[in-house]
Formats: sequence, C-alpha cells, structure tokens
Amino acid sequence: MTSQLNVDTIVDKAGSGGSNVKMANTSTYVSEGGNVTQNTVQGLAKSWANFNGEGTAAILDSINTASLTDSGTAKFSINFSSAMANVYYVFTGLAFHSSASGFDDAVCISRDNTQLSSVSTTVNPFYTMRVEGNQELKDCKENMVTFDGDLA
Amino acid sequence: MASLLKVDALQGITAAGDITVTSEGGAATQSLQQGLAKAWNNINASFTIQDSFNVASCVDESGTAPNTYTINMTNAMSNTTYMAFGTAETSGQAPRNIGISSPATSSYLVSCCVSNSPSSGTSVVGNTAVLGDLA
Repeated sequence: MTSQLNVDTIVDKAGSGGSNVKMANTSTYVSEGGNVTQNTVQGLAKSWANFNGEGTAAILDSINTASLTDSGTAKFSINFSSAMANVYYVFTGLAFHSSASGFDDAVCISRDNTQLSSVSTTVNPFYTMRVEGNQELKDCKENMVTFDGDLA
Repeated sequence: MASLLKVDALQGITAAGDITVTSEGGAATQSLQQGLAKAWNNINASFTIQDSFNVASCVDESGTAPNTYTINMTNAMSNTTYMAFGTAETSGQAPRNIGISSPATSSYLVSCCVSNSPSSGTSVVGNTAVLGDLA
C-alpha cells in the first residue's frame, strides 16, 4: 500500500534539529510548482568540496570526501568516502587564481587524457588551468567542486 | 531508540511543494525541494547520455557549432531563470569550459568550449546540472 506523509518540517526524533533523518532511495517529493514528483535522493549532491590548492593543499569544507590528493602543480583528486554507482557521475566546479596584487583571472577545472583513465567510483582526478594569458596549469587558492549522480 | 519512518512520498501541509529541513548547524530552516538538483547529465562526444536524472534526450547541435547540444528535460522548470552550470573534459590539456544558453523551461543549449569558443576537438565530455524550481 502506498503511504503519504504530510509534513512541513523534518527534524530528528529528539527534536534538536539534527541531521539524523534517514530517507529511502525511492523517496519522492512534490515539485515547487506542484505539478510533478521527482526522486529526492537523486536530487541531492553526493559530494562537494571547497579546498585551497596552494601550498599544502587542504580541504576547507566538504561532504563525502575521504581525502584530497595533490599530484603536482594544479593536479588534484577528490577521493570519496562513499563510492558512486558508476564512473559517469556529473562533475562540475570552478576555481579562481588570485595573484599577490589581487585580481588575476578565471580558471577552469577539467581533466586531461591521463586523468580520464584514472576516474573511478571513488577517485575523481582533475586539473585547474588559467583560461586566458599563458593558459597554464595553476594552483588556486579558491576551488569549489560538486558531484551529482547515484551513490553505490 | 532510533525510529524508522517508511514513506513513499513527501508533501508539505501548508504547500505541497514546500517541506523545510533544519540546517546542519540548527540555526535555520530551508526548503528541501529548492535545495535539490532538478536535473544532471553526463554527455559524451557522440552526444550519448552516459548517466542522467530528469533528462529526456540530448540533441546533436554540432551543425551549429562543434560540441554543442541541447538537453531536453523530462519535467519542466517553472521559469527560464534557473541556474545551470557545468564542466567540460577531454583528452589533451587545455582550458575547457561549458557555455549554457537559450534556457527554456524544458531545455537548454550546451557548448563545450576551449578557452572562449566551442571546441572542434574530439572526446569532449560535458557535465551539467540544474538548480531552480520545477513547474
């Protein structure tokens, strides 16, 4: 029998506002406009990270990240704690390179052919490269990446 | 003792499309629905969908520009001002960017670019995702 729960707010049992609510992967939600339903779990970002890529690279904030690997100038890997279901998860991100004098230029996040072969359900390699100017690999202070897809 | 709630659908009482969740820090509440990605997709150089959510089809627009395609969504957005973003990846080391244009409630155009123009190279994989309100 299909069940429906009408509720305005979800909190944990203690009522303290914690994040202890567990949701089945078949859960759906009603759209903002009220016209359709979609799967709730598939709409959640499965991992994201804000990291500093300069000097000793370090994750500043994140979810579902076991570690950040620094493989040389501007080459990194985000290693997931919980694996994705396949290697076709959606990887998006941005970075910005700031020079000592302040504003410098935009930086893209992408992968080269050697990194593409290393993509796995738990390891996501990528590089950061200046878009204009020398178009060189560049370590950036500000890096933000997100991952959408299905967890295993 | 931990409790387990089994349910197939979540719906707000005040408004069907508005369930709030308490923030991780406990200081705020936000809409659950508005925080969810409404679509995401991974498209290869042959314009084949490798994995996706709420995507009906990917249409080859390379006749207009190289590595350009239209993403058609199954469930429509409520307006054309939603946020779509992405990353392009390919063999070879160069600046890769995603350009997103022509946003409609059920589709948007994606161009995988090298620096500031659509790439004529091969093996481009485009990753895009959508945030905003569904209709």
